[in-house]
Amino acid sequence: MSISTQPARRTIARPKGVLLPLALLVLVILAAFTLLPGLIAPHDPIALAMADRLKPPSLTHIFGTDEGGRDVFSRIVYGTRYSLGVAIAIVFASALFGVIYGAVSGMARQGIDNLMMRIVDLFFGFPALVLALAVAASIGRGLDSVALSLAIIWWPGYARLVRGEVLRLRERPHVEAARALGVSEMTILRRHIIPFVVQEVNVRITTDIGYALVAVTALSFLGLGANSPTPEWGLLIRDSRPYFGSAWWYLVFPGTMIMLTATAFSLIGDALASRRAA
Amino acid sequence: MILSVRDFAIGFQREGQNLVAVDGISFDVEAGETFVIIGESGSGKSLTGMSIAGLQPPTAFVSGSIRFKDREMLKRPDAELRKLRGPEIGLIYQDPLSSLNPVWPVGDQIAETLVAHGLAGRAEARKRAVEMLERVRIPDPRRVASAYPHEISGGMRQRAMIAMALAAGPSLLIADEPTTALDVTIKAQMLELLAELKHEMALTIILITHDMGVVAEVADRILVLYAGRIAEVGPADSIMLQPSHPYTAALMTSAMISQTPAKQELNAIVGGAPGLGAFPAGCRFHPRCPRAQNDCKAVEPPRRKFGVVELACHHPIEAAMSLTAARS
Amino acid sequence: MIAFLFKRLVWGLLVLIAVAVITFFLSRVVPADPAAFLAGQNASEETVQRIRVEHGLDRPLPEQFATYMIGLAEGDLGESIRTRRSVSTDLKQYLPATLELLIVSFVLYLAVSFSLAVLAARRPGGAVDGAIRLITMIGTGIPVFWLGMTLQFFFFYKLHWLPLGARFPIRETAPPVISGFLLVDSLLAGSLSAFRASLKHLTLPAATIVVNLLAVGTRLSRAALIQEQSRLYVRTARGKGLSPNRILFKHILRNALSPILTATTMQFGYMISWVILVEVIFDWPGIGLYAYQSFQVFDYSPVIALAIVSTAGFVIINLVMDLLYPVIDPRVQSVGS
Repeated sequence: MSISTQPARRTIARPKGVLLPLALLVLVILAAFTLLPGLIAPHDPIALAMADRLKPPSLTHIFGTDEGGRDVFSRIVYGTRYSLGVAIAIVFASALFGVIYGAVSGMARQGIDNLMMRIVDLFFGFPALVLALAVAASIGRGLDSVALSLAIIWWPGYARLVRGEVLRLRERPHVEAARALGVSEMTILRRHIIPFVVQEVNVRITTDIGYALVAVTALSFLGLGANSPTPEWGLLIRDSRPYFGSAWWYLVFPGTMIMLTATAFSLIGDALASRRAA
Repeated sequence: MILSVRDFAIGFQREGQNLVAVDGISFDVEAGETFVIIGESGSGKSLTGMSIAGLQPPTAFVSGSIRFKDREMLKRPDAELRKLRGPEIGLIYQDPLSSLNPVWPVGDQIAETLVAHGLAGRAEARKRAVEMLERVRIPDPRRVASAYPHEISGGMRQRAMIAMALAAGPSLLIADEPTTALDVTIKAQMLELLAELKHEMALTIILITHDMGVVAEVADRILVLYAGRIAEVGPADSIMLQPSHPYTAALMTSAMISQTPAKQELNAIVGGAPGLGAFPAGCRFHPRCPRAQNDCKAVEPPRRKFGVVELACHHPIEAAMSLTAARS
Repeated sequence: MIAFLFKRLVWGLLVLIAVAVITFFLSRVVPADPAAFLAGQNASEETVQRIRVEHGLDRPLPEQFATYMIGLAEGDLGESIRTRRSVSTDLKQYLPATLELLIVSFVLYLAVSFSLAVLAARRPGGAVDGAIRLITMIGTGIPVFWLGMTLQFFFFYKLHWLPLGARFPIRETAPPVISGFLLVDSLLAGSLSAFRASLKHLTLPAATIVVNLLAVGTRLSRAALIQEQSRLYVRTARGKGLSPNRILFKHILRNALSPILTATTMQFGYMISWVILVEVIFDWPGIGLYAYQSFQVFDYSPVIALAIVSTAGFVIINLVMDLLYPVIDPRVQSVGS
């Protein structure tokens, strides 16, 4: 028998307990914001009301107002669609392309597989956000160009993940058996590989939505995304720059929203991952 | 007497349960002898060996007494135990590749023992490291001293481990399965080396093993451990030639029948060794024992003198019939 | 070794060419009419035509591409419409500010994350460890630009301790440019007050980057250290009677260095990306702010130049790290690919 000499170690507590329910609650709130902004937001997110400009939080404006007298809370609610919507679109588009690319690479002959993976490696040689910035700048301003540029740097992660999984699954005895029985590669892919890969990808998608949200808002903050007065979260923070020194609410609430959302997705992704590991 | 162990017990708490791994064992080790502790995995032999050097897991609870050169080792603060490990007690392990630090040259790792205990300066320690490598019969010790563990052979690595354990001149060497990972020829060389070093450096050796082949070569006295209890302890000759405990007899037989390591053969004794927390009542060996009777299931056999050995068995094998009985 | 170096250099070159190709094609192919796009919304047909000829946009695409690549090979990164200077001249001016910020932040980050990881690994599951896990979890979700502005809010608007932005007080004269690093130049000029001023200006931007990197970095270092703690050579070291500190610093740290190095390389990539945002927030006159200001007036060459330069930086860092592996871990003879 061997003796462990390392000191006592409590098992790392997984974020369950209160955190996971809280994360799920954040998700429900976000869904409500996205689907029914009109029901939740007490004010119009666009219309100016100069008489109310830069008012601190109060009962009528719980998150205060911006320099145009618009309700910050309402702008955040309406902004969910843009910020989170684009983040989700980026992750799903990248995942879709990455899964197809990775699966083809994993099933292809070695030469083609090598070439395809070299191309993926290429993307890991760039500082990703700078590339996205250059791409977004090259194709012009707008949330669609932010989405496209981030998708371009995002898919290689999925391609690498999926190809690894495909190679691993192909070695499984039941897949080898199916191949020996003359089942076609296409069927093997569809029946024995894709379903397993999708589970793995789901975990990644969940965590990535949070990161994508931070990236989207960052590009918006730089002025590459939506134009004012779209209530996109990153743009709200950009717009707050001249005023936040005296109007803390204008800075604090949109940022906290981004942080809460990103943390919630990464917590849920963690929980999914540990459920799969268990 | 260099070491005296009295009523030593060690166990762990798991999910509110106390799991006792070694359950009140006592033995003495005389200066200058090779004392072999033999048992299957889970018998508690390594835990016992590590506890002698104060290296039991920090989560373990211990009781009883381990006295090394009249110093109580249990419950002594780690800072004081550290002063003994190296200059007084050396340790070697199985799997020398993982047991050596992969990013340090072998010579530096040997020298470190001396430097850390303030026994030599850097340059002096390095010189003595090369001397130690020469002492463990490594040809070209200078080259090996500057080599990394992955650059030398398995046998060389174990020799380097021995050099490291003996560098600070300990009087007691605890060798925990030192030959397990080695092939037969190198194993023989290693045992020969240990025997020679014991002579040259006036060592006492405690050898922990499950390998009967190893026992026959070097043992002066043998302690047979089964499920945390002593089955039999006594002079090597009588234990190997005339085992009195049915468990020892079974171990010897399986070792004699086959030249393959005894470990697999041990499992050929009916059933497997009980796991931690699943020790049977009465004599712990009774479910696997061919001589078991009703009293074995109910009453734990006390330790008693039986000829030249001490054992814990209700129905030991008489001297004249022991070998034939074991074979049947 | 030479072959390995050559292979890595070729790969680095390939990465750079890929950036150039991607940005070129996207800027020429995706917009329906790049000239109209460049000219702006209310430009007349003549202006568009003039821009088309000026930028060679009337030529066939392959020819445009060849001209562009040849220019790049000669170090020609194009002209900035905004500054009316060549982009490479501008970069020479702005690069030292960015490098100073990057170097200071990175050294600080390494020191802090390493110490935190060591503290956490000494007592896994203890108080320090728990605190680090919490910070890590929240830290990964904080957008770096928001973090920077929050720091500005506290340390400038509320406490008045540190300046809002820029590299040096506007009203004071900066020390003569020798290295381009203000911290160094102020010391060379023998001006302690200038040194203090530049340090004050550097504090918030550097802190923003460090906190942002710390979240992920500390977690990775901690994991590497804890994994090394359970290795058998640690038991051997204990058997030699070494003290816990000696075991940690002489044995475990040295072995954990390789995985930490891998994490650090990744972190450097993130840092290059985030530095743009930090420069914008703190008005730090580096290449990130330069590209940002150019972009605001539809001047794109600096942005593409930024992508190429920072990719080159990243390629070099990767190369250096690859060369370090065999030094840190003798088992790695040479990294093949």
